[in-house]
Amino acid sequence: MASLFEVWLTGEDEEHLTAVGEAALDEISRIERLFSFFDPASEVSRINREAADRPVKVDVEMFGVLSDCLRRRGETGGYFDITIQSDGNIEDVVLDATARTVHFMSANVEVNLGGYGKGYALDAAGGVIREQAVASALLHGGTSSILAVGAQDDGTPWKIGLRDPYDESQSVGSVDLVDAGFSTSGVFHASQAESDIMNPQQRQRLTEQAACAVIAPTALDAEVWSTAFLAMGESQARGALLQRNASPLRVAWLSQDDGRTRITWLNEEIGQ
Amino acid sequence: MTYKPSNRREFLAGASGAALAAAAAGAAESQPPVRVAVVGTGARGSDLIRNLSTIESAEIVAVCDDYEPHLLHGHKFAGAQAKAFDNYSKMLKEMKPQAVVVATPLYLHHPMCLEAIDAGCHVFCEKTMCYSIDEARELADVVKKRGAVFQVGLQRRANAIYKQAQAMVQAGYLGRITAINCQWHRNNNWRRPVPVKRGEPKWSALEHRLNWRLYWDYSQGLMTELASHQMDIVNWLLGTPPKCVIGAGGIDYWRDGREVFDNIWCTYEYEVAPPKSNAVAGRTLDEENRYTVRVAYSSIQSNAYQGASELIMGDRGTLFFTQQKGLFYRELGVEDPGWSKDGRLDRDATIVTSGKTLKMSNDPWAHRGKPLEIDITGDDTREELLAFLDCVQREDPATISDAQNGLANTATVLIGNEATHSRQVTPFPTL
Ligand SMILES: NC(=O)c1ccc[n+]([C@@H]2O[C@H](COP(=O)([O-])OP(=O)(O)OC[C@H]3O[C@@H](n4cnc5c(N)ncnc54)[C@H](O)[C@@H]3O)[C@@H](O)[C@H]2O)c1
Repeated sequence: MASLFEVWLTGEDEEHLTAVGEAALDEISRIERLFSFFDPASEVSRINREAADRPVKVDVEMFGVLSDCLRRRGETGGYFDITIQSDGNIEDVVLDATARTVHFMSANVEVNLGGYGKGYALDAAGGVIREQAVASALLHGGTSSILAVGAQDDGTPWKIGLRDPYDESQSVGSVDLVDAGFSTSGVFHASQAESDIMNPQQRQRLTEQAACAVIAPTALDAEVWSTAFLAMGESQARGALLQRNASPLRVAWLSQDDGRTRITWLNEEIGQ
Repeated sequence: MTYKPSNRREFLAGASGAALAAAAAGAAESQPPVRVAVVGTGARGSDLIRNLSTIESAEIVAVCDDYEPHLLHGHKFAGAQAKAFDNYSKMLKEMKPQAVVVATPLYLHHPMCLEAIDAGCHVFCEKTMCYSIDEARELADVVKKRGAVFQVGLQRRANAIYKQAQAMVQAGYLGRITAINCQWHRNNNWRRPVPVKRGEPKWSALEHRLNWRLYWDYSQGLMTELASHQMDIVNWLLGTPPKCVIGAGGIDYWRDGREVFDNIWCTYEYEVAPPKSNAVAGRTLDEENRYTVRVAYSSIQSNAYQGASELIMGDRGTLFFTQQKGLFYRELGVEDPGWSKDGRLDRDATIVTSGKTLKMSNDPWAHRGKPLEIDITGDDTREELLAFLDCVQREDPATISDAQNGLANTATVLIGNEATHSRQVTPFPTL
């Protein structure tokens, strides 16, 4: 992840809010330390180092996360895939719930929680904040993933500007959030030569600029789906949204038409 | 299969290399996992539980905490096979664990460790080992008498960076260590959130339970909570505890009812013998020319610029540690005309010299050069637990940080507090 995380908390008691803010950031660091793909001391690194040699015993939380990732892969029709950045195949990641182990059936496979961790960490930190009776807070990770706890203290929703993927200095609208997760994925950032979004079906990087923003009940849902929808492309995303009957998502598609950036709310289009 | 060391040694004596390795691996695998119980399932306890749950040589049989929200949290990480207790004595009696992990507030380390040892358990105790030097002395004594396997949670001893650094110091890379600077600076109130408002009837009890660090009855403040890790490294690298310390500190920023200092500054003096030569085998020490190394330690809570790091300065090199990285910088010696290397030329003239030339410079960076980077290889908390469990399985009391080390560490940090209270030069006690 290695992103910048920031937390806004509203309320009367500054001492309490400070302590809660620290606890929320501690929870985020705890998760970052476990999930980091690059830190050799992380659990993900230990798994990637050892799981091809033998089943690796993992803790309850990590086992839950890996199981959830496999489940979400099914749910997204394969478009959310934690092995996509490696040369291996997700079929080669075998979980054993009784032994609580993960085993790689191929030496080429590696797991990377890069498209999962920010949302997961925001939700966990949001849990800490709610537990401590703070009713109004906003948290973000790298500005692309956001969690709103409650509304602002005057009762109005948290307002988030949408950045224009074709001109990052511009904003192209905004969304209102109350008790919701939000995530936006773009094919490219301004300075990128190649996209890090892959189409798992074709095992190819996306080449055409577009962006997808998702509002969901949790930051994790938003993060997973914004990447999955973007990898699918607009028309397939519309289809997938139609078929879905699980947790409600609101999906904005940002593309360019005649040099102008256009936002399409896919739910409205399909009459949701 | 029961494992008898004497038999195994006989067997190994006649075995070939390959068979030897196989026998060793077999012996390790046939050992049942150590039955571990954890007391104190707060922040640190939960992390220890999580780590233990990933280790094949451990089976978490029970967890204990007398604060329900923490007990539930810790139990979730321990897994369903572990039994949850709110009473420590009851847990020891009922479960008879082989090893106990103590992760409660400082003031409980001594009674809880003694009770565990009395129940015949091996003990992993979080740092700092004890609340007072007397308690630490007594505990170290009991550990020795009972032959318990005992380890203090000073996990830098299991950290690849510090292990490598220790080897470099031993091998003379730093030459003679002349000064050390370490600090742990942060900019926050060091408070855990309390679930009820200040002034409500339950506040005081919960404040003391959750923010025990801030009160002298339970904690010894920044020295035991933070400095203990870094001063352990200092003692390790210098190979000796300090001789004495002066200190100053106070509550100057967080005037929120806390009792422990929110900033502390200690200067320690260590007496060490310089290496006689840079001899390869068997480092010899020049006992006649002992000299003093001064160590500046500070911990503050109103500025985080310097973070947590240690700077070990020797006449031939410098080690700089952060928790994620170690950097080694060579000092440029007389025999090492650095300017003629790596194509570096003086700006205004190309200077050509023959033979060995001494170059001295007022360039403030001339003594740094490119550092050698030492990287972390794994999680040191997991590593320290693996090392402890291995000692328990072999019933080997020589842990990476045994009770004697815990005692020296306790005394090292507590004389810092003592000096700060008394404003007197405070000697290291006889242990
Ligand atoms: N090695 C490290 O890096 C590291 C890091 C943090 C803390 N620590 C150490 O770990 C210890 C605990 O620190 P923490 O931050 O987890 O504190 P904490 O307050 O989060 O946890 C302490 C737990 O002990 C429980 N407890 C108190 N009295 C008890 C009793 N009589 N019986 C059972 N449980 C009881 C409390 O309810 C609490 O859950 C301290 O010694 C601290 O110095 C070490």
